[in-house]
Amino acid sequence: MIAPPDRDLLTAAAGGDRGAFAAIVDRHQAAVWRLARALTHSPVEAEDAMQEAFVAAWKGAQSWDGRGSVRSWLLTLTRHATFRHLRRRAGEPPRFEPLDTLARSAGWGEQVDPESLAAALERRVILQRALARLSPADREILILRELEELEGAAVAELLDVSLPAMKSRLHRARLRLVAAVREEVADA
Amino acid sequence: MPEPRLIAGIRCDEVLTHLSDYIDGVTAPDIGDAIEAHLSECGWCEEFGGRFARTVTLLRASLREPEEPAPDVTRRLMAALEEA
Repeated sequence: MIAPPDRDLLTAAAGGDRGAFAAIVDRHQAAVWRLARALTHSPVEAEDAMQEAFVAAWKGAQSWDGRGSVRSWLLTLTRHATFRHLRRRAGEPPRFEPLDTLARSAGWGEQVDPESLAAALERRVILQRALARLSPADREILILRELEELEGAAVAELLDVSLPAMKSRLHRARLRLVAAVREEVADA
Repeated sequence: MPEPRLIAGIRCDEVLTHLSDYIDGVTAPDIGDAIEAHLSECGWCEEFGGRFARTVTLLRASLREPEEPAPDVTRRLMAALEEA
């Protein structure tokens, strides 16, 4: 039996079909969880944010305008839920830095030992620690872009920015990640 | 690195600007070709570009590993939805 598409399930859910909504949860819970975990400080906060997002989706199923995918809509609700949980202390995007300044922090133009760096990168803990150094805004765009099925235009729409603005933010976030990896390797 | 160099018709800082688009495969063909030629001749950009690409690739791989919420998290979510 062919599984119903998300749109049909959400339409049924909007009419009160809990089983249809449970199918939506089953399909998208992992993606919502990944984003909530990336944007919050703890599994407890992530769980709260995920519950808020899905409850909002259940209650607001009839308000989905049909633009974009159901997953994008759920991830938007997740963003809103996580931002309500976050203390906006270090969470604000960093001040604008020139691209070459960011790149030099990441080691642009320096001689490094590629073998040792490659070996370090294979240690996933280095990458996880580097991610944790980034602002939630940087982590968010990195995670949204690399999640399967979310191409650049979809990420831009989800973030409510233009495609060029999304690309600029993404590039800067990637450079900060490379710089953070470099710091983690130096500290290791 | 002293100053960005012009190699294959494109400067090192221009390569830097286009790096994300290049590794995502969305640069215009002429720019992509110029970057490729630059990288083959510029050791600095080749090294940095390789490190940049490896970091993004590893991030992508790690994020696409399944990370499911624990079963009790799912149970609590479904309970919350029952009450909603």
